[in-house]
Amino acid sequence: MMKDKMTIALAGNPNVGKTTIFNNLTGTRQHVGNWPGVTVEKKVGTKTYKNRELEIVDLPGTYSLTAYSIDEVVARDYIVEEKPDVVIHIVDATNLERNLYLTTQLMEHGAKVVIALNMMDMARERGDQIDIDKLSSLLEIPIVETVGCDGIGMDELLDEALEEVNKGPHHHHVVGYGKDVERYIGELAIIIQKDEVLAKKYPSRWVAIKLLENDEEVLKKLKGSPAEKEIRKKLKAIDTDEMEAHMADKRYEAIGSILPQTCSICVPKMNVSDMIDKVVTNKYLGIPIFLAMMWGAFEITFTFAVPFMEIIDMIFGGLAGVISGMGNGWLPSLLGDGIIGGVGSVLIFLPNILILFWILALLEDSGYLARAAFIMDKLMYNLGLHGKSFIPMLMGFGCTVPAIMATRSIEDNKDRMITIMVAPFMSCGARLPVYVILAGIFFGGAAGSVIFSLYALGILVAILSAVLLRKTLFKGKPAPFIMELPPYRVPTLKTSLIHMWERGQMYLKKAGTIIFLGVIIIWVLAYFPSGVEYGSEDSYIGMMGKVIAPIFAPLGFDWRIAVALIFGFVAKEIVIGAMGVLYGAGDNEELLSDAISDSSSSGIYPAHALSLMVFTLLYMPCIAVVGVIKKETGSWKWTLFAVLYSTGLAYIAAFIVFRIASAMGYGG
Amino acid sequence: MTEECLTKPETEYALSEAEPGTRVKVVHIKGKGAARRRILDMGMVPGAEVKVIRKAPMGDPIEFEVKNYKLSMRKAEAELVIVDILERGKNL
Ligand SMILES: Nc1nc2c(ncn2[C@@H]2O[C@H](COP(=O)(O)OP(=O)(O)OP(=O)(O)O)[C@@H](O)[C@H]2O)c(=O)[nH]1
Repeated sequence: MMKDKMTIALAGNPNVGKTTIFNNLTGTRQHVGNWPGVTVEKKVGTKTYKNRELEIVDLPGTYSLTAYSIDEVVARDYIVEEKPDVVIHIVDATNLERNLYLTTQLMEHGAKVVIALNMMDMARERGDQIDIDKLSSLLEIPIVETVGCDGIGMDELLDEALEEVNKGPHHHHVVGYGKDVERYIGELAIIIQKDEVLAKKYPSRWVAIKLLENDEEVLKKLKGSPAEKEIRKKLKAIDTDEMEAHMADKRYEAIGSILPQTCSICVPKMNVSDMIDKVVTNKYLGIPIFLAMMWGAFEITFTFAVPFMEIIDMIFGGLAGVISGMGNGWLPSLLGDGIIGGVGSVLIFLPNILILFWILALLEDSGYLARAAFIMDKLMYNLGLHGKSFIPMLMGFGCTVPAIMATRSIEDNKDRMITIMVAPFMSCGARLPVYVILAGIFFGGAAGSVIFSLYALGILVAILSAVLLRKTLFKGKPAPFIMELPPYRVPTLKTSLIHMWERGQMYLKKAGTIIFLGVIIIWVLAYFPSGVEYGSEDSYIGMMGKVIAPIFAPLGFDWRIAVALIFGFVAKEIVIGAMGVLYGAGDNEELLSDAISDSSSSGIYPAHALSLMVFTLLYMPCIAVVGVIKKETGSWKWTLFAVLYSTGLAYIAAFIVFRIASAMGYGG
Repeated sequence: MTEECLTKPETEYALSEAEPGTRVKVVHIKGKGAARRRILDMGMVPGAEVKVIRKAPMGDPIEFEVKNYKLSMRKAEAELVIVDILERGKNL
């Protein structure tokens, strides 16, 4: 029987080359979305091969098919519920023992499996000798050798997959669990078969095994089943903790009995990876090297970004010039002040964002990211976070957008949510111009110390918020830290650029729409009622500023600053530009400096400036970040919380700073 | 070591107590739930040989070698793994 459309799922441990093979197979014909209800990325691609329409689904990287993390649940549910026609299981040939653990679980479920034995180049180079025919016959699974990064073995892989689908159901090698346990499995399977619906949907041996392992997700599937009561009774009499260990043990035992027959010299000796680790995670050198790498990452980001930023600036400047030539009226203003001004000031950060994504991809692909988590975990754990939270928070100093997207590597939802909530307090690059100008005008020689204090304040607020959130909304301990330290690899330019582009594209698409909307709303508020000067006292935004000004009075802000802060929602650096307009200085920084440094006429004294800087540091993240928070938390509720929480904190902090500074005589 | 023998029986030696360089054999995994399951899935099964490689610069987590790859765990997780010592590492 031929089916025209066929689904293939790609499964495998993290870091085995799944993305590489997925890209090889599908090319550009892919679609990135989310799995329903969760923020795990779902990648689906299509391919026409030998007159068959193939739908290829990239499952999240998993070590096992138990219900440990959301990734595993997603991968398992797909295989178990959606029943793809065939699973291509990608196995890292240089790490067979651990990789085959997932294989035993796939076999147990009875899905049709084809193994792609990837990283064969590395295995060969290392001198491993794998008897692939033997391995294939012992596992009773077809195996194709592949080298993902060179595209070797792709057609053979698809040929095997097609052939496997056309074969009827056949016997699969399964792990035997020993007489006693097999008896339990048999007894449970018989009970399960009493529930026809359940038995039809899932292989009953598999359900029985999962039940013995005390798998909550499978227990949930039992709800309302006529067999539920009997099963629960049966399970009560069994020590499922004991079973769980026993099953894992037997699976590894089965692997242990197969491997020596198929693989001679597969045990690596002291290799390059170990040598690198001796230095990189060394007791004394580990932290300095880590800090040096992070410093280097920022240096690269900012130096590489400069020329691109100049180009973008030029393009938008040119466009603005063309449009101002179109004369007056709402359309040139919408295009010039609104879209080009607004989108331009957000796009100017795109080079920074992309380069940070690229460096993140390089660190990830090389294997260093795992070491960074390993090195920083102790510190982060003390703050109620996970080692993997460190990198996102650090990236926050560059730009909050990639920082929040980098939280994807954090498996535990609470750990991740806390990191998302506190990352915006790390002072990003867009806030710096605000400090530079205000501190420069009002604090002269002490400007450096003021700016440094602001960064320190951001870190302090992030830490305190993390502790607070952990004690209130996200109660509980940080997730366990049980993490593989993968061997170092030289990252390939192509893969890292693909990773960068995937994230960058997602940012542009998702955040882009929100940015665009926000920019238009701000423009409407600043342009209308028609006839008023853009963003002036008489515009809606000016009126809003006046209405909310009393709220800001305790912080020392008048209506003009209130308006500038509303503009700052587009991108924080705009606060300065908006002040320029409101204080009649246009976009000339020197004029602005003259206008506001005269405290008696501008009403801005050092205490006011300080309060404004603190508020700018902490208050609601810019539109792009709000868009990304929505995307990453999948919830408007949490997005709103992030906005209100940060703005509330900003208010309190600015108030305190203003009062103290005024009391010390800096308030005029 | 002799001090430890007085306070706790040799059989209850947790992986978290082993110094770098030590080789051990897993006896069983204590506890319940997700952490335990993950430890088992990652190859720390009864009978498995584990080598303690090093501690992170701040003393925690710890890196191990098991099933021919490198795994790191916090002390809190390593405490769940009860082991027999095969070969003692030099106390660094
Ligand atoms: N030497 C070698 N490198 C490979 C091979 N296949 C992939 N790689 C490299 O391995 C690294 C990881 O590949 P990915 O495709 O990102 O792996 P993944 O399984 O998708 O990893 P996660 O996304 O972290 O789950 C990349 O740097 C690839 O270039 C291969 O067959 N041989």
